Formats: sequence, C-alpha cells, structure tokens
Amino acid sequence: MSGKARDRFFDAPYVDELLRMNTELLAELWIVKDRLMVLEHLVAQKVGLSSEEIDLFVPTGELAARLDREREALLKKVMYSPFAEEDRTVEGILATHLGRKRT
Amino acid sequence: MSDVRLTQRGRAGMQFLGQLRGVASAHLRDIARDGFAANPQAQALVAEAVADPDAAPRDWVKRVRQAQRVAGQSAAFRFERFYQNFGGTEIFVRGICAIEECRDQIRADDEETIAACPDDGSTLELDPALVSPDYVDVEWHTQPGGWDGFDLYGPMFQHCFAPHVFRFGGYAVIEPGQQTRFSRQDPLKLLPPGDYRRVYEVGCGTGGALPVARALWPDAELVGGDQSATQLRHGYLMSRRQGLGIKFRQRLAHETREPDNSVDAAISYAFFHELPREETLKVIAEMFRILRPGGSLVIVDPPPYRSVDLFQSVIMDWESLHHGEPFFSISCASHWAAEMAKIGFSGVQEHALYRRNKHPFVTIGTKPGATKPGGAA
Repeated sequence: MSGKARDRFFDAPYVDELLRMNTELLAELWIVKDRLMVLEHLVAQKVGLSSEEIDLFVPTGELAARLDREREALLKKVMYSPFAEEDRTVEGILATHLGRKRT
Repeated sequence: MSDVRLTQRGRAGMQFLGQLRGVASAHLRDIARDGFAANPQAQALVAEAVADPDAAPRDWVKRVRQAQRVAGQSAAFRFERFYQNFGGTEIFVRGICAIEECRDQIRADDEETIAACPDDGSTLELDPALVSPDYVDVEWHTQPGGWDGFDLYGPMFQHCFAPHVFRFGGYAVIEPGQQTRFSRQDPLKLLPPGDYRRVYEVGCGTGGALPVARALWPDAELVGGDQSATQLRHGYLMSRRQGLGIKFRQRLAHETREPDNSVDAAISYAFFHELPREETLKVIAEMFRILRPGGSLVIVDPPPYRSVDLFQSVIMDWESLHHGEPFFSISCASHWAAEMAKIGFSGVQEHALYRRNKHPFVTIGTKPGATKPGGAA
C-alpha cells in the first residue's frame, strides 16, 4: 500500500516540492514559536527571568553542541520532505523522524 | 486512567496542521468558490445538475469530475487543495511520532483499565479467521498501512486528532469551525420513539455512535461490528473505561452473524462512504434482515450530491481522488433512500441536519410489520 506517487497540484516542475518545503518550515517555525511562548511564560512566572537576559545569553559547551544537532535535524527534515513519499510506511516514518531502528 | 499528554512538539505540530486546513478552507476556498461561480463552463455544469438531480450514480460522478477540472483552473483552488493535502497526510506522519512517544504510558493505562475497571458487560470478540474483502486494503484517509497498519492508531485519533486537529474543522465535508460533537447524537434523536432493547452498529470502528446510544438507551444491549481488530480493541478499552457495556465483534459488514429479526435499531455512522456501492446494497439488505419488524435503520453520512451545490460536490469528490476515500464519490452520487425503499424499508425519510453544508445527512427507514420498536404491533 505504500510508495504511491504523490498527488500534484501545480503544473510547473518542482513547485509542489518547494511549497511542501515551505509548509514544512512553517510547521517547524510554529512549533518553535509555541515552545518559546510557553517557555517565556513559565520562566517569567516561576523564575522571574527577564526577556532581556535571554536576549544577551551566549550558548556554549553541551548546549551549543545540542543546538548544532537540532539544526542539522531540521535541515534534514526540510530537505527530505520532497522525497518522503518514497518511504511512507509506519516503520519508515518512525526511523526518519524518531531515529528508530528498522526491523 | 492517567492523562495522556503529548510532548510540546507533538501537540504544537498537530495544532498547526489542524489549523492549516481550517484557515485554508476558511479563506482560500471562498475565493475559489467565487471563481467557480463566475466561470461559464461551471455555470453550464451547474445548470445541468439542477435540471437533472436524479442522474444515475456514474453520471453524477462524471459530471462532478468535469466540474473538478473547471475548479482546477483557479490558483486559489489549487493552493487550498495543496494545503488540504499537506495537512491531511502530514497529520499521520506527526501523529504516529507523537503517539509513539507516549507508548509506554498508553500500554500501562490499558493494563490498568483491564485490572481496575469492573466488568460492565463490555466484550471483545475477535475472529482471527476473518478474511477482509479486497476493498478494505486501502490507506484510508492516507493512513499508512490502512486501519490496522499501526497498533496505536486508536490512541492517535483519540489523543492527537480529536483534541488538536479536528476541532478546527475545515477538512473533507466539515466546515471550518464546525463542531462535530453533536453529529452522533442528533441523528439518533430522529429515530421513532420506542423501546430500544437491542441496537447494532455496522462498521462501528472504535465505537462510532454507540457511546451516544448508551446515553439515550441506558439499558439496551449495544453491539458493534467491524472488520478492524485494531479499532475494535481500542473501542473495547474505551467502553471498559467508561462503563458503557458495548459488545464489540469482528465481523464483515454484510455478514454480521446476528439472528434474523433481532435488533430494534441498526446504525451506520460515517461508514457507507467507505464501501463500494455493491457492498453498501448488501449491507442495507443485511440490516433489513437483522431488524425486528418496526425497527429502523439510520444512516449518517456526508450528503448526496443532489442535495448540495456543485462546488461543494467538487470538494467532496476530491476526497475520492486525493485522500484515500476511493468510494466517497460513488456513495455521494447514490440515492440510498431509494435503495432502502427497494429493499423493503418503509417510510424512508432524509434529513440534512445543518443548513450550510448539509452534513451530517441522515436517512432513516423502518422495517414494516409493527408500529414501533420493541415488537408491538
């Protein structure tokens, strides 16, 4: 049942793919904005940390490395999105997005 | 039962995709609708549809496909459909990941349910020898692997889609912002008054309208049949948790194995559009067989093409073309009330419950032979 060619909505080459990448980015952007709003609310409420202190913070060490890893994962996700239909199985989805081993 | 909580990423991703479809349908669709109304080719097709509402099912589908091509001339239509497609397919990708992250909690809750909830009469009867018909082998709604493709599909619909996606509306036949919580309850209230002692739902999935039926008829025996073991299991656990006492049986829709004349009401909720036309006719006949004289069949499904405007028919037909609903269009092109009358139902009535999109559309007919459910002549 998997491996079906993706439906196309536009006639010019790669427009569908580019729009998919754009919408995938929009989803990721929203998730980050959501998290940021939740975090800033909780931090202000529970710790009393101001947004100015967050603005001036410079990540180093493990946090900086984690940011590198997350940025790479984001880039892979966006670049992969035009080709995702080729492996749209539950196993493929869990391997791609959650790093689960394939059986 | 503890509260299943998605991660922030899971929750926010689901909400984004739900609202993406809601916003696209609320804003871009109206532009596309206006463009369609102004298009001379569309106007000719609309005139034909108005003049011949009782066309044969295949002719209706052909007409709507022509209108589909006309609608596709609009950039707004293409963008709106793109976002529908993106949201409708990606909810499975993100939903599978979001619910997989909650697996341990969900499975622990399941065990706790079985151990802690008193025996309320809920049962689960699976039939490992059941052979599903070929038409079931579809990735419904683009769901990877189909109904039984992932063991957590039931919890995914419950914890990801219901609270975070469906609430925005604007997908398939559902209007943006349309609240669907009454769509199960209101149709059952249209059944004739009577003593409903035994009620059967065909294609009940994870429960369908049976939880609502329990609220209406507290003492009735409620039986649900479906071919999907994954959905039935989830429905059974839900029934145990809520003390609903529903009996879930793995059955083919046209072979329920229920005795003749044994139920007071038969329900089909959001099911007929997922069957080939020939299968639907067999299911109507099967419901007629198991109903007691005086009992009624209530069908709740998207509206027929003859009851909505042509642009709305295009939106519905699109589900068949692009969203894992191969029989949606032929079902909407069919006249189930007329087919029920041919099979023997009497007093068949149609009700469109909500004005704008006519969804849900309810068809009710009674098996002749008694004046009211419960068998009294």
